[in-house]
Amino acid sequence: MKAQLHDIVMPEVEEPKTKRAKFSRKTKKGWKKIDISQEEAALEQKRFEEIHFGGDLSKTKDEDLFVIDRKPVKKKKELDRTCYHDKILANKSKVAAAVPVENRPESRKSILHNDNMLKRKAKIVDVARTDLSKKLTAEQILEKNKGLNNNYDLWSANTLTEKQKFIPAKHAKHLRGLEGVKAPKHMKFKPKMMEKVEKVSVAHAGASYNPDYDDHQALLLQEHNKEFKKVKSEDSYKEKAKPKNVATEEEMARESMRGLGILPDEDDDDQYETEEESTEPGFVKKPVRAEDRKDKKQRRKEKRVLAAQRAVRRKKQMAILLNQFYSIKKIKKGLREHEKELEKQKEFRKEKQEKRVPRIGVLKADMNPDQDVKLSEELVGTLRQLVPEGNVLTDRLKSFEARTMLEPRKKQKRHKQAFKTKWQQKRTFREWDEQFEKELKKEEKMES
Amino acid sequence: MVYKKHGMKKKYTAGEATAYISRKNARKKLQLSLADFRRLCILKGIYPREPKSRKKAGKGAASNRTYYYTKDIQFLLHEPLIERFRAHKVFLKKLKKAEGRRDWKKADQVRDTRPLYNMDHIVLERYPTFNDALRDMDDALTMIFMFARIPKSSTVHAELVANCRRIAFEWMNYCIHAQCIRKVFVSIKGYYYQVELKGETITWLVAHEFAQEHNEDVDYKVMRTFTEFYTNVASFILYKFYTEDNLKYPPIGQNDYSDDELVKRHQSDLESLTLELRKSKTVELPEDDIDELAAATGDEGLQKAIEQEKSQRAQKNIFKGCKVFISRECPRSPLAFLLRSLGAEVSWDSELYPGATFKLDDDCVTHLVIDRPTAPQKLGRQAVQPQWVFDSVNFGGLMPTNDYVPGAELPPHLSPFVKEGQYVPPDMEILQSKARGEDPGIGKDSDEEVDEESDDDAEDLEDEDEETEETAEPPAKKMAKVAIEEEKPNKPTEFKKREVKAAGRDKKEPKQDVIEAEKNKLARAAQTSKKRKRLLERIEKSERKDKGRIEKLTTKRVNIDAQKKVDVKKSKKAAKSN
Repeated sequence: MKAQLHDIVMPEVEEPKTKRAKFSRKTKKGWKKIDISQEEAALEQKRFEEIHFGGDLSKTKDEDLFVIDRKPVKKKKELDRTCYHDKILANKSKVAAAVPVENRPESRKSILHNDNMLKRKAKIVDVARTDLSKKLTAEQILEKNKGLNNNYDLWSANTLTEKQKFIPAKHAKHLRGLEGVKAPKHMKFKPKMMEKVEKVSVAHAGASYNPDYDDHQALLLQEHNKEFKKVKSEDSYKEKAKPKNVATEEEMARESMRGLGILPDEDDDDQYETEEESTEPGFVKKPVRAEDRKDKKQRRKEKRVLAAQRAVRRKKQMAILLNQFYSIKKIKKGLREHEKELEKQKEFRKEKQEKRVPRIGVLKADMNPDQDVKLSEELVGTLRQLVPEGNVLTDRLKSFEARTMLEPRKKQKRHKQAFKTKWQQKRTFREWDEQFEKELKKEEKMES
Repeated sequence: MVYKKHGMKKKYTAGEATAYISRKNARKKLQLSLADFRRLCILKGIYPREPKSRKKAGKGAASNRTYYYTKDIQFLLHEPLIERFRAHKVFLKKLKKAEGRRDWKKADQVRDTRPLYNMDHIVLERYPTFNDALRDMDDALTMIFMFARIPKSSTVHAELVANCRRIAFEWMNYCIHAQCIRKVFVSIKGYYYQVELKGETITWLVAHEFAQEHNEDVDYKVMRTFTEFYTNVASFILYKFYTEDNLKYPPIGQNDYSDDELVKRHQSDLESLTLELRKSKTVELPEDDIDELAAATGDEGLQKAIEQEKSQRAQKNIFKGCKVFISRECPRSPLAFLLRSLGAEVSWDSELYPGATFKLDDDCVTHLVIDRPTAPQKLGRQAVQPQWVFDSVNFGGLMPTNDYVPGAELPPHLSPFVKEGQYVPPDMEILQSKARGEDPGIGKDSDEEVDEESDDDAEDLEDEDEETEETAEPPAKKMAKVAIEEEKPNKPTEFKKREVKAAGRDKKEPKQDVIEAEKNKLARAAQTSKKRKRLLERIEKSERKDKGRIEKLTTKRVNIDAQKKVDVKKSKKAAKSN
């Protein structure tokens, strides 16, 4: 111990009072009167000793506290060059830095602190890797792996045989190498999006905390374009949602003045209307008159003419077909072109199908989520001043959804109360209230 | 009565109608609540599937429902976990009843009978081999590191958080031991780390400290279930890693969970990241002497592999011999993690956190990582900003500290995750050459005099290069490089930059070879099969597209640089005339 005793001022310990005050200890008020200064002082003393000497002074040996100085006294003392303010500010405590305690499991609820639970857990965990022929007590098992599970080699060859022992027959069926229920074959083949989309997509180079100018601009441009597209499509929706053929104000005014004879071209309008009436198309079919009816002779002639026309047409078609015999090459070429076209279409469809994101729920997954960006003026040169962006959990969820591991969901809003609660005064109270007010007014009047 | 006509089948009794099952029907079949069903699916790795024809799968209804494979659901029927879920439901009922009656004694008794379960068999079922499990660690680590940070709440229990915290730091400690860190990227979201273990690259994200806000839109129950499963996988993986490397697992002392103080101490030791991991065997495996091996073999391929291994080993220890003191305003755990991984010793203010190994005043301190405008001066000690560490890790060599002096304007922190063939900003080349310990003749003032000087510099460098190459590189490669160098001096500096850039951020040349070989194979195959031909065409099309984009950006850059030159000249002229 280098600290010298006379350097440190010991806190004074007050002498305990011998006389005991008389008061009731029944209520809380009474308790406050109990003198605990003695205990406090003792605790203070203990803390003081801990800070300055690292433990209880009375228990330390003299040899630890004092050293027999055998060295010759130095003539010249080395100058201590540390500044006075540094000396004051320097940490003299001998107590080690506090261990940060975050999210420590609470003692009561935690498994780790619950012996019964621990025993049961140990049983579950440990039967797998202990020789069942040697019967271990629960305590022994507990001793073997306290609170920790999974500390054995899962993938080693002899684990499986132990596992066979461990898992009851009906559950063991579907495990590797055991007969019974087998996992379906397609379990090996994950959904295609899980292969396509990266598990952890690294942020764009422009999202560096201290980005290169070009990278940063590229990221900004990319995000700008995305946003621009979004805004544009929103605008177009608004445009589409606008009601069509709505009268403008001018038209409304004009309409209101119609028929009053104020408008200059009112007469023309009337004329137009009458004209329209006259040209209206007639929907009524004209009645067939007897003289217009065709007789049998006419009908026969008509038939003959039609048959002749048909024959001519057929003949012509046959001629064309016969003629095609001489142009087989040309036709073949046409067919080939047609096939090519079909092939192209097929490929196009296939490509489209490949690009398509499978839909596994009501909502669509966000395949190209917005990236976190810092604007140019928000960039700071140092890590210390950096204000982080983004939320990892949100990113993870979006990634799971994009990989079709989860169906995309949207958090539902909680339903608000359908009706507002109405508040009403009870009739009796209201009447009394009104009367009271009346009386008040009366009094005021009297006073004035 | 439905009459079955000859040769006619009843509708929806085969095909897609029976291959798929809607979520509602699946729940009915399993007799589970929606929450439990989701939980089970997540744990077992059963995902919703999209039927080819919604109408057929929905037995006539084409609405957007969620479907599963019927076989999957039948498989779930045999899952022992379902039984535990039901037991848990009963347990909750009992607990609620006791608490409702305000019978605390009974409630405590009931609490002791909470049904427990373990999911070892599911882990084994989903990941039949160790590497299968490793491949899924990206997701697992990101979730675990996330949950290690968030405050406990009614949905996120303290136990889970504590467990995540333990696993997260056990993982970091192992990474330090294995020296497997490859890349780091500090983004505005957090730190992206990449490690290489057993031939698998694992990338994960750790959020900045104090940054995470509670998000109402996220269903914590679902996320908790994912994390619960991932913690199980991760702890199995950790056990395997530790024991394979002759380390004791758990790394901290025998877990005596009855002593709260001890638990805290152990945890803080683990989290300080300066802990020496305990060895289970005292036998030290001698590190195989590579030089001897190289001398013994005449095989050229093996020689090449040995060279690669050598350079990798050197990269693993770039901070060796450095004693770095981390100032209190810097993020302690990421810096300690990276520095220790690459061979440095670290310390910090002992008041700040337990586990400090030396003091700031010690003469042995070589670097002080500080993030303030000024730093206390001391001879033999260099003060740097935290970015120095990150950039050094990415470029595989110690960056010159004069760019990272406290208060100085830092060079940009570039992402090492940019893929091959993507546009690379010119700063990258400058930084890369700096990491190699060279003087980059680029990016300086583009006056004519300076240009000449830099050309000279470049030539000098080339000479040096040639000297080193003689020992390092196979002759064919050297010839190619010399040919390029001969062209170099005639070209303007702009183009020189482009050439070097083509090397890219990712130094994965062997992989490039593989891709090239694959392409050649495809080209040969294309002559026989239409399918292959189309595949090749598609690859080439996308390549052309990428190329076009890069060209666009590079020309843009050239124009900007030229404009800058003109501007500088103009301003100088103006200054002269004044």
